[in-house]
Amino acid sequence: MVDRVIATQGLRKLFDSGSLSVEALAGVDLVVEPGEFLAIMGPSGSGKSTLLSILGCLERPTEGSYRLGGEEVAGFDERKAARVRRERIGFVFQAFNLLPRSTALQNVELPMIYGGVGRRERRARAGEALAAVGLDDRGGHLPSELSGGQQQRVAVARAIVTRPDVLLADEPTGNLDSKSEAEVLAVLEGVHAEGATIVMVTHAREVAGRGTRIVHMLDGGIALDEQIDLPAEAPSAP
Amino acid sequence: MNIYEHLHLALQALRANWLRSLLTALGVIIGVASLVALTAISAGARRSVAADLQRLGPNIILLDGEFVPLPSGEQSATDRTLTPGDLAAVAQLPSVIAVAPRQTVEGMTISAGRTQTSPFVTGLTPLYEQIHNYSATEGRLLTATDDRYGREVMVLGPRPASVLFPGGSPVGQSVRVLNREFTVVGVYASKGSLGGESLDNSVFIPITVAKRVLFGGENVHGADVQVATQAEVEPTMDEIDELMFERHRIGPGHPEDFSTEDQATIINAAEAATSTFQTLTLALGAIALLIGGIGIMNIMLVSVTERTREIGIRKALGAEPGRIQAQFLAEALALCSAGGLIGVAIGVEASRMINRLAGWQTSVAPESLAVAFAAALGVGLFFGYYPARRAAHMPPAVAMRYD
Repeated sequence: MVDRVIATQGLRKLFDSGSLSVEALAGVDLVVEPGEFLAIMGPSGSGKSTLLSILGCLERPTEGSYRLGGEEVAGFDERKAARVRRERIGFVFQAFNLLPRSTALQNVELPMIYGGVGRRERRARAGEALAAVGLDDRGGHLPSELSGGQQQRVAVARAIVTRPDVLLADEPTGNLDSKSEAEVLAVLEGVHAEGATIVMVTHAREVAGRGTRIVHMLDGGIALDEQIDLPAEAPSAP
Repeated sequence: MNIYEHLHLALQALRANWLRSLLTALGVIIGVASLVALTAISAGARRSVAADLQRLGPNIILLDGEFVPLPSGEQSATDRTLTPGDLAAVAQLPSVIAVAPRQTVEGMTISAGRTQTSPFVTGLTPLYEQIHNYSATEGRLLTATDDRYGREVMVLGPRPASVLFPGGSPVGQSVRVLNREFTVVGVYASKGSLGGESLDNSVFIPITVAKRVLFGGENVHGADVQVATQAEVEPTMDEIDELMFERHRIGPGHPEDFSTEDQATIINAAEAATSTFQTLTLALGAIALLIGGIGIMNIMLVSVTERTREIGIRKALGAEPGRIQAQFLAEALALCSAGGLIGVAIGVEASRMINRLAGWQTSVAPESLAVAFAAALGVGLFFGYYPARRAAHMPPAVAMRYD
């Protein structure tokens, strides 16, 4: 149990807006093992997005412990958090969040630019990542020239290009039609099959069902944690 | 991420809104341009004062006879109050090097054939030409011999020379003044102007001739007194005043029939107009830069707000606050350096135009261009800092939800 990707304990998050204080997370204990494809479900306001933000070091918990790959990161300052996001976390958002004036290839290069990777290596790795999501022929296109599904696949390529410890996806198919949804889920499954750990927030049961485990949240806490039995094919031995 | 990439990003962002960028940079452009033009005019004026002093002769006191009001209420008949004795006495003062008498008639008609003009006709000695650094472009200047023998010869200023003898050489030609024929022996080189009055519209004749033919009497109405250094000008003026008071028996409360003036004062007064303009330009430049800076701050704040989402994405992907800050600062700097470059170009061109159209001497120093450009960058840094900082410390989770 040493190699846990994520381990949180008593994670709380309070949002203060003047006199009103909202408890978005009320003590979450969550462990994610390497190679898991975890889906977080729950009604809106249940705290699933806040939990993902904290797991992605985009926000700091008010209280509690968050160990990422064994390292306590809950109290990291802006700089350290930026470094964690850059090197160990990949994000996929509902709204794709590609830079509109940069090409697909440039978008995929972005995290490596901030990571100080040299231009040539950047190009090469971005190209590989685009190939992994089946878009190696779309590198020179602007996001506006791509379909929603393609844009989200570019976002997946951008998230995996740094080979992060965990890929965090926030409603990755929320803005997509069913055909594009299938495309993106196939890509995520492919990435998972390559060994990536994925934590995905979704409200759709059939999307969540593509994972290996589903965590149901309610009122800032975990209400149900269900392991999904993999069909037929058993995990292969090393 | 290196400087090149920051710059590339910055230019990309500016190009995306090029019209807005240009309008934003306008304040900086105007500010830098006026700074460049100002320093060029200022340097030109400094050079021009020095050149004027050299051109007109250094350390010269203008001693002039003056009309005085008579007890009857009328004005005295003449301002030719300086006697040969006065001039000799002034020449005796220890600090005085030279006393050059002059006798001028304004607007006297002179003619050559059927052409005529009305220049200043001045009787003088070679000493006058010498202390005022005159030189001849054609023929020669007046000599001591001309003066001694009372030769009826004339040196023309550039303007009467070109009016009376267009196209041809005036030397050896004859010019009529009243009923006398003078032989032109030379043309003096252009002197420019003093106190707004052209010095080129004069003709010179020997003072002995002037006294005999044109005026009569031994008194003159002016003399230029030269001393060795500028420092001696003031005390010598006091000494001359004292001497003249005594010689002309001017009691307290009586009107003075003479005046003394430092030639440098007249030159400086002429430059004072330029100096007022300089102060104005400096103020304009500073205000334009300030407004330009505020404009840049404003547009950068707008830009930060507009790109809140982009900032959020970049931060989510691991951009450190310093990187974001550098990116927006680079944008402000790129805007300002573009504005600075355009401003420098316009400023240099404006200096040339001012020189051509207003006739002011301008001098564009490379250092002044560097300083003006640096001022533009400084404005960019100063006014870009706050917006960049604001962008840098935006919480990513909030920023990405922004629409």
